[in-house]
Amino acid sequence: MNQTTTIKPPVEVRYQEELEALAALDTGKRPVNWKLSPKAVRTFILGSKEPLSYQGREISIRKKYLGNDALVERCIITLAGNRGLMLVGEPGTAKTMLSELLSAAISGTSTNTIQGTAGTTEDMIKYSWNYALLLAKGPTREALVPSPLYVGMERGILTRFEEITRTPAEIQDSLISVLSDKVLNVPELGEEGLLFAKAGFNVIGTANTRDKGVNEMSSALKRRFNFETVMPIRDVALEKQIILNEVEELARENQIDMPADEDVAGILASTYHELREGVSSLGHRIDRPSAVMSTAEAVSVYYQTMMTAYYYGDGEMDMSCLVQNLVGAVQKENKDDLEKLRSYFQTVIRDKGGKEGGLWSSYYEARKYLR
Amino acid sequence: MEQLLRGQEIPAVVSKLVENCYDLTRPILYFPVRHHSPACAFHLKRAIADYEPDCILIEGPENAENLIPVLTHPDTKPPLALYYAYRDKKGLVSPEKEDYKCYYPFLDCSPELVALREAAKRGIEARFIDLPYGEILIGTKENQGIRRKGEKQTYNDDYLLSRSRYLALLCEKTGLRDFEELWEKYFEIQGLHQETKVFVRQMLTYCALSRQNTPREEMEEDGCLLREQYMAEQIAKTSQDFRRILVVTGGFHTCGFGDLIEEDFGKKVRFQGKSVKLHNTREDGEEVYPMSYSMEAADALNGYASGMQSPGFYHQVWKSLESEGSSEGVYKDAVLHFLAMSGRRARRKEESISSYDEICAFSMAEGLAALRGKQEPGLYELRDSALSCFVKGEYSVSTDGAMRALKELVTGSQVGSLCADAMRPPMLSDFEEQCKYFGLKIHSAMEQEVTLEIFAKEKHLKMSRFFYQTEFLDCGFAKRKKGSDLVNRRDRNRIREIWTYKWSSQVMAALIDASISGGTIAEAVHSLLHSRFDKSTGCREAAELLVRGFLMGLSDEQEKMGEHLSQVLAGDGDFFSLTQGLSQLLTLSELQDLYKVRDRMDLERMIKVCFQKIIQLLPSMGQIKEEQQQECMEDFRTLYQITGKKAYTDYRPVLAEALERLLERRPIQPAVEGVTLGLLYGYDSNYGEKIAGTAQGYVRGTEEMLAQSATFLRGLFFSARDFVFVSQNFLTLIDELLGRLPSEEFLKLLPELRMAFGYFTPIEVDRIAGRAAALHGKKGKDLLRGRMVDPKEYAYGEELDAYVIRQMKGEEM
Repeated sequence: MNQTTTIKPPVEVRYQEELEALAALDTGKRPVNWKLSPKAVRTFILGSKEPLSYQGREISIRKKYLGNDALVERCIITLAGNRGLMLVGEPGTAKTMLSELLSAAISGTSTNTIQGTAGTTEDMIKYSWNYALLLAKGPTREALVPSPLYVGMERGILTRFEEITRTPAEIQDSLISVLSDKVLNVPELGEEGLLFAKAGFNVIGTANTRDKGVNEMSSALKRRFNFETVMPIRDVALEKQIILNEVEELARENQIDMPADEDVAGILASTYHELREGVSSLGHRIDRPSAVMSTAEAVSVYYQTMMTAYYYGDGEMDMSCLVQNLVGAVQKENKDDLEKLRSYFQTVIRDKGGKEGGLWSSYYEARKYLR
Repeated sequence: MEQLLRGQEIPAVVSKLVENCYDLTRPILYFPVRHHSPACAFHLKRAIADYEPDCILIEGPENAENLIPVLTHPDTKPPLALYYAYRDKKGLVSPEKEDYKCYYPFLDCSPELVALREAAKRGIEARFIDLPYGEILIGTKENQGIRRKGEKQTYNDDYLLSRSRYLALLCEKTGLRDFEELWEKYFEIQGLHQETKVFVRQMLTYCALSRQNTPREEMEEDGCLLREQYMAEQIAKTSQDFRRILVVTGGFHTCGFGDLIEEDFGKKVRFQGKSVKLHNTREDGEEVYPMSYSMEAADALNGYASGMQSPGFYHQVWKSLESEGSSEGVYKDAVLHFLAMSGRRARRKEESISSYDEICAFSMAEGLAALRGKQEPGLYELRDSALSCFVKGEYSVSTDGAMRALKELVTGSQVGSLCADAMRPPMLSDFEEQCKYFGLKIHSAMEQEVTLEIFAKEKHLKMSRFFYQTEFLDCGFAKRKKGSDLVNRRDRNRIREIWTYKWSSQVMAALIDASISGGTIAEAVHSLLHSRFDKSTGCREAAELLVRGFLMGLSDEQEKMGEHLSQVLAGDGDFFSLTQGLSQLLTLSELQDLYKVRDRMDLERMIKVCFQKIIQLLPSMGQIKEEQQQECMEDFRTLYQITGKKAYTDYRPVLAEALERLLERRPIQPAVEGVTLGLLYGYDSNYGEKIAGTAQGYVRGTEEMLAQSATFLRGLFFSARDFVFVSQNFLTLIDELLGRLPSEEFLKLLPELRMAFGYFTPIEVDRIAGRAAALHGKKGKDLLRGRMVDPKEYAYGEELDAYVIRQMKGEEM
């Protein structure tokens, strides 16, 4: 895959070098069909302090998932076991990223994915047919179009099921037999229609807690998964670090030659953090907007501002542009949210501007764009 | 671990200590421990067997030495604690002369208790060597160490081991979450598989590095250095009498002895520090008692910064170590045990946890241990695996049932008990006997609930009295959840009482503290009640104490208290205090038969005296301050209600006369005037005219009087709201008042008017509204239909509202 032309290369391409080095130097025991041992998977996701020497080069493994290390460890062990892994949490808490990292490290691919939507049907989950071949040759394996789940079972790799709760409950339930018996029956193929899952197969689902109640999972399906609740980042410094890391990565991929500004990332991290938690670092109580105030949103606000600065400006982050992008991110569902943001500026940012001066002051001055 | 630790430079004294550690040929063998650590206890037991000491010295305030036989008695069952109390009468600790207390808890797996028990088993000497509690307090700066505020004080605090900067770095380097996980991995789990010498060396190295990264001033301020000096001195002294001494102290202190004790190989042991001068605190009110303790109180996770967290889990590990004699697989077994137990408990609470979930969880715990490089899964793997496999769906209060069950189990619910001949305040025995008599569960740390039919069952009445007594002693044992509240005169019609009670070590501590006042609960309550009664100055306070005494079943005391009450009554000139006191006395008089109490203090006479005093004071109540207005109105009504009762109807004309006298005096507070007139109207309907006249006076009076008309109405409606319906013209009068008011004035009066009309029931309000509408040729329903509001005006109103809210929030912040 040509990295320079791809908007977002898959994880296994993005970190190809790291994965190769880890695989080559991995001495740990690997579960059958895993590309790496659980320890190496952990290192790939949580990083290593010392760089690895591989083919005469020093390859440093960066920490890719910041937050809860124990959660990552639990995910790895779950995937080595008999049950699927279900990541649940608020939008923008890096559930998808984590599932991609896990799939890339364990199975070498993160693209074997079912995207759950309201229109997902059972054949998208199990298999469908190439009707031209079906008519010509009858029901044969050749005429069968395998779904990502089918592929996962056939090859012994992980299948990712994104936004599972967007899918109607009866469709979700088609996973039950696959997850418990590890077998998929294709009656049309007759005696050859039984597909037994190869070792290494498992399912990583992600579900958004904001979709709770839209399509509640049946308890039978719940029992086939281990659940991990991914919480929003509680530490402002960590959130700032995530914004910086992500933005730098995006800039590199899109060849934007502009360093990320730590102070701006700090301001954005603190804004998102305070609006999410409902209390400022100075102790103000804040009305929380109903919009999702996720770190992923903060990254996109920063990145948009960065692009504006790079292409239209002088390469300096402009606070008024940042505020305008912030408005776009906050005002989505409820028009009261903008009001809440405005009063946040008029209290918290005003006080911080008075206290800290500098960028905070210009951030406060840019409040006129809160419209 | 050793490699990890070697990253730091170790000072010479420490490396000497580490080098020479666990040399079984020396006259002194230092054994560093962490409190409640099974691994330390396990190796300590081995060390005692290997070293065969003739004396064991243990870190612990030496004034508890005479209690060692109680701690080691076969009938004594941990968890238990030594309870130290010090009354700083001379102000040696601080000029405030406060009282101090702390606990020294022991569990089965506490190395200190293991050492004491082993010494008893071998018939060798065991001693505590630390400063007495009072001396430690004197040697500690305010808000440091054992004098730190806001925490439950425990003597054996590990904060020095777990709070250093060095530790934070170590956790980061090892990728472990915190000190507890680090400790469990390297000392509890790995330590069990090591030789004792290696374990001790590792402990000492860790403690020495923690110490190296703790500022000396901090150690000075929290009394750590002073205590070490004293302990070192005691070690040196003891070495003159014994050949082989085993010294068991917290690892942090063990490292401090290197500088203080010089030990020439095979020769004399010399103390090199400065001798600690004592203040003779023992005579100053220093006390120490053994007491039963609970696992819950010993759990470091319950906000008490001491010892290991989740003692139930480590207790299970210790039990396996003791029963199997080998350390192989004990953690794995414990994890399996708790997964199965928590699954079972959660199932009982209708959580859907299957055996397969337990199997998955156990396999996950093992997998996590392997991934984290631990020899066996421990507490952290137990929690992680339960979190993954037992929680179905998003982690929230509705899905964490299994996790709560697990938390309860790893904390443990055991409560200790002391042997029969334990020296302890007789009050504790009395408390336990009474609990036994009433069938109260005090061997569990869970909250219990009991429903008492106090008027139907004699035993329930007694139990209620017992609960009231413990409540009076303020020991936090029992709490009335429902039932009549005589003291606050609420819910007096209830015939049942529902109490919740919970045993805790704090209850024990409070009872020990209260034992100064008496040998039994009843004695302590008697003497406390008397002393508080003697100090009471007002009728209200004295009568309230009488009611409390009554609830506690202390009616025998009433005779003596009656005399004092007469004096109090004579001296009390406060109308409010007397009225509320009167109400309490009436409560007593009315309920005596029901509660099966005999009147021993001539309550009727007291009530009469009290009433007479009130009548004397009443006419001058017209000039009270505005803030007393509400209380005055309520008290007037109470008096009126009292005189409405059959037994006191004779007092009604006297009251009416006093009220009339009040009306004659000027100036008079409008609310008081209103309430008085209302009450008099109830007594004699001829007062209707007077009410109408007075109201007219207010409404048609000068501007200032007009402004007070709403307050007058409030008083009137408080006592006689029916007047509005009886008097034909009264509404017209109010209507006139409202009509005369300019809108600005009306807005000012509005809050008072709202209060005044707040006394009416919704149906009454509806009737009034109907009549008021009729005065203007409309019907009640018409009032509900407002005029059409201009959208612009409405939008402006909304904007204004939002603006005000924003501004107010801004100010609040």
